[in-house]
Amino acid sequence: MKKFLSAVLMLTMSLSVFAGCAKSEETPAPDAAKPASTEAPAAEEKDKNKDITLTVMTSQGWAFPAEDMLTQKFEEETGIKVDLQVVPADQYHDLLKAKLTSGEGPDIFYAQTNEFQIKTATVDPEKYCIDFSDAAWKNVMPKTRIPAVSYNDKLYGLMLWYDSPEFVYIYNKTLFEEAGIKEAPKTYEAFKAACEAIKAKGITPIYEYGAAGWHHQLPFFQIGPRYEELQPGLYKGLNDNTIKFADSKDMQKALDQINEFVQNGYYGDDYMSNDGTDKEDRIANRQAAMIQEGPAFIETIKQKYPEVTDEFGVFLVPFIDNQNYPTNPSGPAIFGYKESKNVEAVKQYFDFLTKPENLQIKLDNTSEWTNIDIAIDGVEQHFTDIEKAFKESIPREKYEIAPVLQTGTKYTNDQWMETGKDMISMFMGELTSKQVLENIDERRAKLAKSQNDPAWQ
Amino acid sequence: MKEKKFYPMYFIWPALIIYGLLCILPGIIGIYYSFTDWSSYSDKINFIGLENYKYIFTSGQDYTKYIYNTLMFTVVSNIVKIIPALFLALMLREGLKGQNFYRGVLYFPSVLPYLVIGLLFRSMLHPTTGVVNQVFGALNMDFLAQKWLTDPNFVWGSIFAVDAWRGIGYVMTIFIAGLQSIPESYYEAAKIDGAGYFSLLKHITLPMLMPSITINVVFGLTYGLKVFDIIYVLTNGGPGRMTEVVATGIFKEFSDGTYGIGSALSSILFVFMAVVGILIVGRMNEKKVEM
Amino acid sequence: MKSKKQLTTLAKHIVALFLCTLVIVPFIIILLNSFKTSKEAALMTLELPKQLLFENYATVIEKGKLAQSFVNSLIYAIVPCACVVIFCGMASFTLSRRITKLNKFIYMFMILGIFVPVNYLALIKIMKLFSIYGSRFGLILFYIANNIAFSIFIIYGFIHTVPREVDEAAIIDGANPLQLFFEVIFPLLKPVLVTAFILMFMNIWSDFMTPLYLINKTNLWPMNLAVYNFFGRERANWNLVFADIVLTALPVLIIYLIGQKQIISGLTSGAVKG
Repeated sequence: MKKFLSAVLMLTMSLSVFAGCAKSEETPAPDAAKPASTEAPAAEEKDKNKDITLTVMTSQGWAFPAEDMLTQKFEEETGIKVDLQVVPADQYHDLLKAKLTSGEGPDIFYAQTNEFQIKTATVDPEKYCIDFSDAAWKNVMPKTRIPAVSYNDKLYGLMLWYDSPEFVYIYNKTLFEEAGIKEAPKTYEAFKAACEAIKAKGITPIYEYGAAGWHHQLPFFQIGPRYEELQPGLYKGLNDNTIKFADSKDMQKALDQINEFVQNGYYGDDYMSNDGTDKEDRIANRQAAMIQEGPAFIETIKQKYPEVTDEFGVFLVPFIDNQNYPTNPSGPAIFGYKESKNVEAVKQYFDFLTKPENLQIKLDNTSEWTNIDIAIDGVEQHFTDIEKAFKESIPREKYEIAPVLQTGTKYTNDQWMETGKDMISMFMGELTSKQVLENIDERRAKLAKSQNDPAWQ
Repeated sequence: MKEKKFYPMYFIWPALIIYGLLCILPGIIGIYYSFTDWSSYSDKINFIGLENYKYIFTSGQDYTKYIYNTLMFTVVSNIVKIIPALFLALMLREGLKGQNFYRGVLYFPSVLPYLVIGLLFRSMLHPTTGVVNQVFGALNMDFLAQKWLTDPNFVWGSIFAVDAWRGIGYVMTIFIAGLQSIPESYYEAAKIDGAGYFSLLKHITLPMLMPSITINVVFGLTYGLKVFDIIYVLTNGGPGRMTEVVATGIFKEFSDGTYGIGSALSSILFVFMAVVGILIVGRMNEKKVEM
Repeated sequence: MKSKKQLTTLAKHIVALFLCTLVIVPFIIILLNSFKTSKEAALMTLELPKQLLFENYATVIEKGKLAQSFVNSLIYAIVPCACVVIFCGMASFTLSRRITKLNKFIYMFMILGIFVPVNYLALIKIMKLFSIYGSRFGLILFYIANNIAFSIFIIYGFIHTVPREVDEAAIIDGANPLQLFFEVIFPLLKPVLVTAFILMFMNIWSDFMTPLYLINKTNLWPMNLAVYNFFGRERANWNLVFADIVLTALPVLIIYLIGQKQIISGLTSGAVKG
């Protein structure tokens, strides 16, 4: 017995000593991070950098293979180590906020943002983010994206995302023809007729993945410009708090139409259980005829299933007869942590990311993208022919006039998942479309008050 | 005199200090926050009294339903675990060949991380591609195939089933331990008096098993009231908000950055649990002293 | 009479086997799919793999940096468990031998911890105050704090079963309090301490929320979080994710199998006894 006791004690002690040592090793030597010049670092420069480790925190959904490749390249070029932490998507914002609020943020972090969300998304840029107003890479971003990463006229973040309305309906052209549908639907009635025809063939018209929690609310938000078109001044009114979501008859109508689709079985019976991991398979194997995705999705199907001969096309979300092609200058942006011990190294990383060759690496290794939205030359874009033709086919007066609803109005994108839950409740018959809109208003008010927004006082 | 010397108070200090600083103190600070408007957007923390509590009980945000769901989960999940586990323990008590193997296997699920349980069961219970419904299909019993995690009529049932799958082994182990501490001589004596199986169960087994029943109930209550992971990984509160519980509500408030409201919700849970828990533990100790 | 008994035994076996099958099927799915190719594994069926791909495991160990995180996990689990067992043993000993009003209150106060929900924000603030945030040491201290209530609860009841005469005999032999506890009492507490140790070990091993909040560097992450990190990057490759799960769950299963008898006997002689 004594043996057991002493063994436990020994083990404990040796391990705590080990833990203690490990801890002191980990503490970065202060001031090891002397400002490093941004020029190609010489060998000694690299040597100096080898004690620096930058922590980069990103969410599961944004960790494209490109991120891994770029951090490795950065390590090779500068000697600065990068510790890339990929956090499960659903924990991400909670964790990020907790770490920033408690003063222990990662050196570099990603956060979903848009013009109105900048303060709520990253927990106050003025308090937590490095001011990049003088950064050389400022003009890499197109003008449309600058507001999403600026606050009080200062630039805080770098948004590298792709230019596209993001979500349109991808449809199986061949299958449509077989079902006797001649052209892609442009109105709600035509859309409904098409679904009915597909359903009659025993195929699920639309593949939807509600279990993911973020996808099924897209059609409602993507057609923002249509609401604005039907009721000019709507966005402004929503942002001044002179109009409420629940006042909009068009939004209610859109929700009712989406609900009608669900009730008619156009989403199939398993839409609430699908998590989207098998979306390529379902479309390629003709288990479903349509899906709401980005235009690059067609390429993804063809890569995964080269044997598929069906042709695919794209059309705009036709609820409430929408024919507008929206803008969406939002996306995850990358920020530097103000309290970081290695601010210079952080800046170096941003400089590195914005070099044309590295932008190219990012684009080439992100299969979801066909392009990268930047304002400089030197990067070869990969727009597909289908995408180009589609963009050109849209009348100019409806092309990129207004942003999608969640980007054009305040406090809307913040409650994306909650709105999704309300919509599921509507599909189950527990809420009416009007109540869904009222809940959105209530949550907007709560958020606005927590930020002392004068329009909500 | 002697007591003071040989049972010194400094034996208590290490545990008490670490526990006080890192377990209780954060809890107290949390309760303080529940009276403030602290959020991730505010620069200052203002004391606002009971506003957050008022919001929880009067806003349209269904928090009262979350509380109801939590209580319901606590009651049902414990019933469906404790009773079958008791019978299993009785069955696997003594004399059955291979009982150690059975016990071991039945305990396995409680070591799996929730993330894995969620991934597995969401995939297995998928209405079209899941193994469960495919098996029913292969057996020509399609009528049994259901939308396990999204149909309002089945979702709670599925959660309880998965929860029992995970937890029964643990509960059973505690019962087995309790059963083994009952001296065989009690049974022998009773058998001589001609007692039957159920009479033995009622007059010897159950009374002697009270301590392990209490432990299972205490653990079960704290588990049920705090429940988060199993719901989060299986349904994330869905479909809609049908299966939201208090802990998922707290999680949501914290991710929204409304720390004040989140803390208030969390404090309600804590006070409720502490009261129930202390009552039970207190009763248990009284009994011990009597014995 | 005899055949009736045989019949019930048979029925018991059938029930037990049926339940075990229910329990084991998901494990088999994990194991089978960990050897498949990525495309096969995506279907998550019970079919046998076309060919056993052991290299999945090699990939996981290398890419997931499992060796490092395995060591981390061991440290995070063993050190706190050992400390808790010693500290709580000592505390419970005094608390149960010297029953005063104050000690009764301290006991209740310490049990309260079973019910306290963890508030990570407040916790981080306090840890920063003592500058132990983000270190192994900080995480270990937290695990100690967090398991004290549960252990006191289990151990306290057990100490009653050690007769006071044992203490008196040792005192007459001239033992001081430390000798009394470590040389005489501690060995007698072994069954319940081992039980507490194993139960804590398994809880800590599968915890992922705490390190996510308290640890800032991936090289300090435990195995469980390494799975998350890995899952985040490789979510299309279910085969690798499954291999990772097998490797993570294996140590706990082994610990349980080794300790199964101990757990039961510890609980038997401890808290569950009247």
